[in-house]
Amino acid sequence: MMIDFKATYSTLLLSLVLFAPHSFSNEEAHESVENRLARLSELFELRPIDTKPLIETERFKLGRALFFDKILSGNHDVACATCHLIANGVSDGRPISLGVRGAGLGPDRNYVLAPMEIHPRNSQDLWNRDHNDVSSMFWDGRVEMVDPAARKFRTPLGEKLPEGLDNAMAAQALFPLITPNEMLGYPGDDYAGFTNELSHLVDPNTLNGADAVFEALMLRLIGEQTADASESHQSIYRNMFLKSFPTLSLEDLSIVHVANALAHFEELAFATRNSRWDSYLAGDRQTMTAREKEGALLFFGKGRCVACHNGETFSDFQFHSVGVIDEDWRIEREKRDLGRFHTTKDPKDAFKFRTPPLRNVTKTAPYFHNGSEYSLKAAVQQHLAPTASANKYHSSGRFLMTAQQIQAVSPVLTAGIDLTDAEIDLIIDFLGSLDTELRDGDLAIIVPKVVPSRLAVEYR
Amino acid sequence: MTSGRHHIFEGAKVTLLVCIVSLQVFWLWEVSIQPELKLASLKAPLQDAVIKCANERDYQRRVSAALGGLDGKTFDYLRRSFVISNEPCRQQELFELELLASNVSQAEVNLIKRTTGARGL
Repeated sequence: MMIDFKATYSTLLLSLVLFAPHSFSNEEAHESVENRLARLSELFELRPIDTKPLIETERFKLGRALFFDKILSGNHDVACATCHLIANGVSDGRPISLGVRGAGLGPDRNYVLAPMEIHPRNSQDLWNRDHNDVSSMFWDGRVEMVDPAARKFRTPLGEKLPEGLDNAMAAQALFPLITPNEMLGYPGDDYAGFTNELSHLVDPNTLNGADAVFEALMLRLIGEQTADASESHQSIYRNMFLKSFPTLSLEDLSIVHVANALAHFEELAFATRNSRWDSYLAGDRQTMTAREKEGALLFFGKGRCVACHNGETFSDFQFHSVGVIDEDWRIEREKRDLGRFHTTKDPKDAFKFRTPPLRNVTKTAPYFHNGSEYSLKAAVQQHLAPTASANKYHSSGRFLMTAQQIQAVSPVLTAGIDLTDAEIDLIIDFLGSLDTELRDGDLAIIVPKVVPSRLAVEYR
Repeated sequence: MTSGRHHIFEGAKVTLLVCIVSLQVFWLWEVSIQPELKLASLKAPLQDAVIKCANERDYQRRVSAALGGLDGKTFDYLRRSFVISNEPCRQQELFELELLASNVSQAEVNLIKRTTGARGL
């Protein structure tokens, strides 16, 4: 029998094509990432953050001048901007801040006079601090909003806190001014042609005399309120204050107006207006990458990050421990930082710190209250192994973590969150979508060319 | 003519042979190869989902045991995160349904689940 092999082969090939296996994609069983994000968005009631427009009001201009003017520091060597640098996400890029007695900026800042005491904490950013969710300031929450409607605060100044402060940011702004290692300086710190007439006025432990520092600062800024300005910067500041608070006279001005102007500047200058996450929530589905979306699902789901990093600012403004240790770190310290305990004196609060908000978090390294982690990935990994240091020893022979310190770690973390390296990378990609970039022209509005005191303006 | 009839006859034989071979291939595909492929394609994701789901339930069990140490707001957000992180459990159910639809017996599905990971279910 003759067989036409060519015809047979062709027919077989055809039959194979016709009966070719259809693909068994599991994707059919999965919901699309987009659908899951939509459900997540509904579940967590997510919406874009609401921010105020960047407008140069008179009060903004005054706040801007004060924010960048070193005249507010006892030694004339530190401005608010020194530890809140725009280039470092309005933090300073250092593990812990270096206030008075220093020169240079960010990681390059060094002491020019021997430090009296080291400032113990990492500089926090200032993004969106006017948001309604922001109920406390500082790592230990020592400035707290008690009654927003009545503008009542709980602060270390207690009854001595001046009345009339607009918000928690304004209340917070007072404290670096009366803290020796931040802006106040120390008695005898007379250098670079300036006299520090403020530092001897206050007891840094009791804060008795804080009002005297505030009065002396006003004297620096605007001179004797019942006499003509004796210095040119005082005339400029007088003019700016009166334009900013048009219903007031010179005699009415106090440190409260300094603080309120600073807070007004900060709320307009440091608002996250154009993050890709917010654009996505506003309906632009193309703005985030596939990896960022996967990261969002992990952040809000398996990673449990949302348990504490929630709301539009990504912080619950509550106090938790993630097991960060202070010892065995490049700046050796005698004492462990007890965090929230310093404010409440409640042993249950020991080692707990305020949840840091996460807007622009990719720019604010190093991380944690002591800046002990330089990379965001290491910071995330710390959450996954919060008691990893528990069985390690300090060079002195004692354990790195005390029993109390281990007990303080958040149960959300001690229950054991299991993320792969690839999943951590996805979460970090998502955090990048929270970043905001200053738009063209914003920098020119935010940073003054010159300040009334004519001291150098440093911002990057 | 004889040559023409011969060609038609040969052609018919070839066509018949092709039909028989095609039917055999089709039968082999439908009865044996396709179910095996489908089973293989579902087995791995099922095993993966079983492990992930077991991990998720373990986490939820552990964190529930420590509820006293959580404030209400933290727990509320954590509870909502469970809705998202329970996804592997929903996937597992889907894979199981697909296996059953592929004529894999419940006993075989259970075997896959039991032999998955140290904990199993």
